[in-house]
Amino acid sequence: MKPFRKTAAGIIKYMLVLLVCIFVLLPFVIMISYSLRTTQNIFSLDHGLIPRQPTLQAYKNAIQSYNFSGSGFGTWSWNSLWVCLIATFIAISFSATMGYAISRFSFKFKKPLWFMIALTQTIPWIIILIPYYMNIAKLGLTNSLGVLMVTYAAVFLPTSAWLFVGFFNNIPIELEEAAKIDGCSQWGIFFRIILPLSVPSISAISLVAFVTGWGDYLFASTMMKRAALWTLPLGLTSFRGEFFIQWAEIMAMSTLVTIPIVILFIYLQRYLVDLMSGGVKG
Amino acid sequence: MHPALYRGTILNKPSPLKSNRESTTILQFILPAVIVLSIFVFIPIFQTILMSFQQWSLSASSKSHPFAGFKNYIAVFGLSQFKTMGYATISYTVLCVFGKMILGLFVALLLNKKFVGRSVVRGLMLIPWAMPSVVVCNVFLIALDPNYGILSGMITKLPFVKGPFQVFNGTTSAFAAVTIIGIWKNFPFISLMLLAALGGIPQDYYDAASIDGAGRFRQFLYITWPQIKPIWNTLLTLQVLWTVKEFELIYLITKGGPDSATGVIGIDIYLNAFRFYKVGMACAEGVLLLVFCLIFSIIYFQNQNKEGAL
Repeated sequence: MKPFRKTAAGIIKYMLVLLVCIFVLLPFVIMISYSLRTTQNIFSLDHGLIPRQPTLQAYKNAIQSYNFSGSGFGTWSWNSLWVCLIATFIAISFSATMGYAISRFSFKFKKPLWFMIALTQTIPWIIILIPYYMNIAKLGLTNSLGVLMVTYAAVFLPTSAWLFVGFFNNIPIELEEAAKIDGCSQWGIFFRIILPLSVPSISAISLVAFVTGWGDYLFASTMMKRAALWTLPLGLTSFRGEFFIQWAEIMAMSTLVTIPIVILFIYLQRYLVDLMSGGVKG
Repeated sequence: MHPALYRGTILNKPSPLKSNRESTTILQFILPAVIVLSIFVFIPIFQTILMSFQQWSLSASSKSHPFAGFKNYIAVFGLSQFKTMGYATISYTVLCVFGKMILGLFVALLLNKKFVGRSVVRGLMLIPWAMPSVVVCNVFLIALDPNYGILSGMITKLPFVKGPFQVFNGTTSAFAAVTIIGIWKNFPFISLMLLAALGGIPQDYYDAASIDGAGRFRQFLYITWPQIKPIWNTLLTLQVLWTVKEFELIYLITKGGPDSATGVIGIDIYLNAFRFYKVGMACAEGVLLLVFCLIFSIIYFQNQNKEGAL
């Protein structure tokens, strides 16, 4: 009786795992499945999960097509890439130093500062969007990739600082005390001891920061009106005509936007989870 | 040693040299971030609060914005739409958070068991989290399309579904779809956080309990639950805060329709400000949302304080 119950429980376990996998993966698989068709195929009712005539035509179209302003996938990926990279660099360097200060030093306005960070980390960005857009429009800075860059940096700064505080709190202080006795300055300690220890966490936080900008639609769509300055999420909308939506091309481009992120997420999986749970725990 | 103890020793120690040089160093560490945050976050927040008490006329050319007292707030509450918006926001937040937390816990407990390919499955769990919202919305829009959708094609084959499957046309079905998509996108995050907590529970506890004759359910109730409860509470608070402000995911799928059934507060603010140019009202709504988030953040902050984060 016992072995039977055990096998039955095992089978149920594997079936549940399979079910969870299907639930989690299905939209991702559907995306890739659509991307391997042509839009004509989709409209001619080829809507099984497995495409009848798999083709890479949609990828070719998505990469090669240009919209009315002469910009296309190449321009948009370039915009997305360097805006997000520099935004990530700014957010990480500023928040790592601030996170370190909050974790290690005691100073006057520490608690209010920490509270402001905890609060801004949770506020809806839509609240700041209205005055923010007006300020930028007044200064004539819409359609500026530089402004978009700093915006992404600022938007991610609180979350990043919050994660860094959680991470630095778990680094034992003894190492630093030894260095201090040896006459190392505070910046020296930060650069020579703390940063080398934090490489995995920094890469994980950088990834989350990068993704914040990489997938952003809200800020980019309100600020970037010129197609030559679009980022990839805005570029996706260019395949939507009023009467005709090029679904295969949208899905192909979506796949190209998603795959690098998914690979990085899985590659950094352990650090990401440790980091986020460190942040959640405080 | 528990990390909190380290922190205690660090922070309660009176700093040995509190010279000018030291405070300059501290300033160097925090100032860049504080400046960026002030310009791009703090000042706009105060502007929103200010603007919510001003009158904004429809013509964009008029430069003066006279003080309007609580007029904007009264307008928000007086609006017939307010009821729909409030209902949509509250039910979306409650259902979505509830779904995410329960499914997240269930999946975490499942993936905490030993089985072949466990680490692969854990890796796959990151995919919904990693997919950008814009992409998710497009995928579901086509997958649930009544004519060309893979998902709707599958669903119409089910025995109890009749007629074409037009999910985004009905108010209830559109709302349900958006909620389920929200759950799908975010439950893996909760599962992974809970898994990290579950991994920290020593196996001895369970061995001892099963020797004492405690069944699965009692083991969960008396061992697992107390151990993951602090993280559960924090996750719950964070999820409420993150869900109540949902914008992109819903806006890109339904734009708040049909019949404002999915018009949560985030969408309402966006439409009021950028479509209907009711700037004052949009800001008033924003402030209401901000106050809600503030209250919740304080709860969260106090919880963290209690656990000795600072």
